[in-house]
Amino acid sequence: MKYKQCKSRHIASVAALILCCAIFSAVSVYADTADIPVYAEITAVTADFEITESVRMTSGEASTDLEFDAVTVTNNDNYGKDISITKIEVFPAEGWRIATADTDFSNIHNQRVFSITTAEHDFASGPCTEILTAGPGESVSVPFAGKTGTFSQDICEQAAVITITVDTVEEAL
Amino acid sequence: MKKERKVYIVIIIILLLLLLASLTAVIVLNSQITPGRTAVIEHNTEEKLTDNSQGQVRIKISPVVTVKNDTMQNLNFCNYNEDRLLRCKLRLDNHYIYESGFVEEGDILRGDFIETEHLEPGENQVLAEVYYYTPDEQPVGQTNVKIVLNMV
Repeated sequence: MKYKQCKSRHIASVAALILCCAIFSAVSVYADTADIPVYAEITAVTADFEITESVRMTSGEASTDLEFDAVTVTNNDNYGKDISITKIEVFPAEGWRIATADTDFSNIHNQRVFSITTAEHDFASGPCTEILTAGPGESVSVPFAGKTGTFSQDICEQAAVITITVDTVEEAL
Repeated sequence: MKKERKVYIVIIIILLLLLLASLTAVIVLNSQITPGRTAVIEHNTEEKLTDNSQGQVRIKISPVVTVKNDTMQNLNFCNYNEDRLLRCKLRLDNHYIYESGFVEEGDILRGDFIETEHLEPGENQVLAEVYYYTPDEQPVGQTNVKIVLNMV
């Protein structure tokens, strides 16, 4: 009788141990697979374009005029629809400031200040929201102009971040 | 009798340790959610990569993305650029609801989990902020693309 009791207790203990191992394995597997997305491939159109990744701005010695690279957006066409530039924002880098286009820069020396415009828009007043559209296979360019003060030494640093917002949604829906 | 008690104590300690190990495993595995860890990435060897020495970066992304079971099904965010790493962050109003890891050249981020707390059923206009970096992860620039998340 004593032997039987002891045996059944041992069996129960082993069973509990196996159960616990099973729970541990299940929990580990769950924790590991809970982060895998359930994914089903859906064929869809994709917006495909190329855009100028950085804009150089340079000024000549003793000149207050700034020269900028234009931003060009090319619609690569395998999407087959128009894409639009809907917003252009200019954020001055740390230590730099954007002044209005009518600022007299001839009196500004060694200050990290510049003006920037595109067409009629002065970025000192905020982002440009004039819409430019590129059809399939077409390119659209955004030219910039601006001014800065004079510097007694060469400055070679990032003065601003220009962020372009491209809209493909209207055509896609 | 004393021996039996000792055996039970050992078994209980083993069970408690296993339980503790299980809980630790759950906590550790779930806390390691780094951006992009769960992304479904595919490598496309057939697509020609854009030469970035011309100063142009190529961006390819689905304008309408289906979200089902908290998962973007067809983001199709491609990096077809030479010597560039791309990242994508999705912003709904002032909330960032998704942030990818670096997508390497030739890779396509097909889908991933997304935070759906702020999304409404149906169409949601979001801004995909696309960041590009040099291979040593130095930022080069940013372009935003308006896309729609269609939550079904």
